[in-house]
Amino acid sequence: MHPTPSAEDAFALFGLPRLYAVDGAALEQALMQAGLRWHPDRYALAEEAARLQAEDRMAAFNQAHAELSDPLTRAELLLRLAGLDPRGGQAAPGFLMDMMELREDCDDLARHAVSMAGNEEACAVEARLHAQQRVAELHDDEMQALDQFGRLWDDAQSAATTPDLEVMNPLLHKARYLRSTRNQLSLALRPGP
Amino acid sequence: MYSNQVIDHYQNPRNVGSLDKESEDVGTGVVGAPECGDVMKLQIEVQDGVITDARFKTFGCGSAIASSSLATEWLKGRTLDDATSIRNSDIAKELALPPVKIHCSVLAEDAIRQAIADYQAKQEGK
Repeated sequence: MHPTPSAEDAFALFGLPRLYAVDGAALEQALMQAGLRWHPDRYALAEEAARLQAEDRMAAFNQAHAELSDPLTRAELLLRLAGLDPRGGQAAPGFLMDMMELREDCDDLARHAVSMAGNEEACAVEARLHAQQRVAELHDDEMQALDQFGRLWDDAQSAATTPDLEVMNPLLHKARYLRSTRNQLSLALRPGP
Repeated sequence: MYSNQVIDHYQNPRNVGSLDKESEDVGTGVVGAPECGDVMKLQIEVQDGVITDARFKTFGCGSAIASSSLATEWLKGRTLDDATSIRNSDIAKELALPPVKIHCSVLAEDAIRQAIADYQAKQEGK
């Protein structure tokens, strides 16, 4: 199903422990170090083999950095590295209905804001602000779900117990729904071409 | 990657909207793919055992929208028994869905079943 995690997963590459809580400063610092060592500009005049290796290494660091920087992909990586399915688990009854209502609600907000675009009156400005505020709330709710996942995961790691996936998988599902809802709302609010 | 049939339903979706989910004549099905964040709502209105109206709202990819749009078209005018015979493979075939998008037609079939079950539960609860 999933590619077997290579010996050098993103955590190993950056020398970070396999935990949800990452030291952001250490991550940035390590990326900078990697850049100093492997940036292709440094290999512009090097032999082809060395140049290609540097390109590969830099790409690996950039990819791992992106994977670790996003809390959702970081959470999914932790599960995969533990041999668990990050997309597994069933949605709780009622959850999909809630998510549907959230989507419809945000869709209405976006339509309302877009229909008044170009209008300088207070109500138009207010509609747009309202929708933008909703984007921020969706982001906060997503981060809250992910951080809750992260606390449960890290606690289980430090206590050397099995993480309770029945509680944790729904948190990831929720985070994915909140993110796709937020993406759609932000896209609708983006000024047209 | 999309067939003309999918593009047609995507650009001119049939029967988009909502029915009153509290009504005794309405059955609602909400299904989703939690792994990608897609969600689909399909509703039927039933009079004397026949589906008189069907509506959908889908937040997802073009294939998911087309599958649910086609499903509402097929549902209208059918008896409940007849409606349960709609298979995801029929939807996938009609829309010429590629293998990676078959799950979208599965979602639509699940939504039909849920909507019918919801309506029937309301009738039994009367």
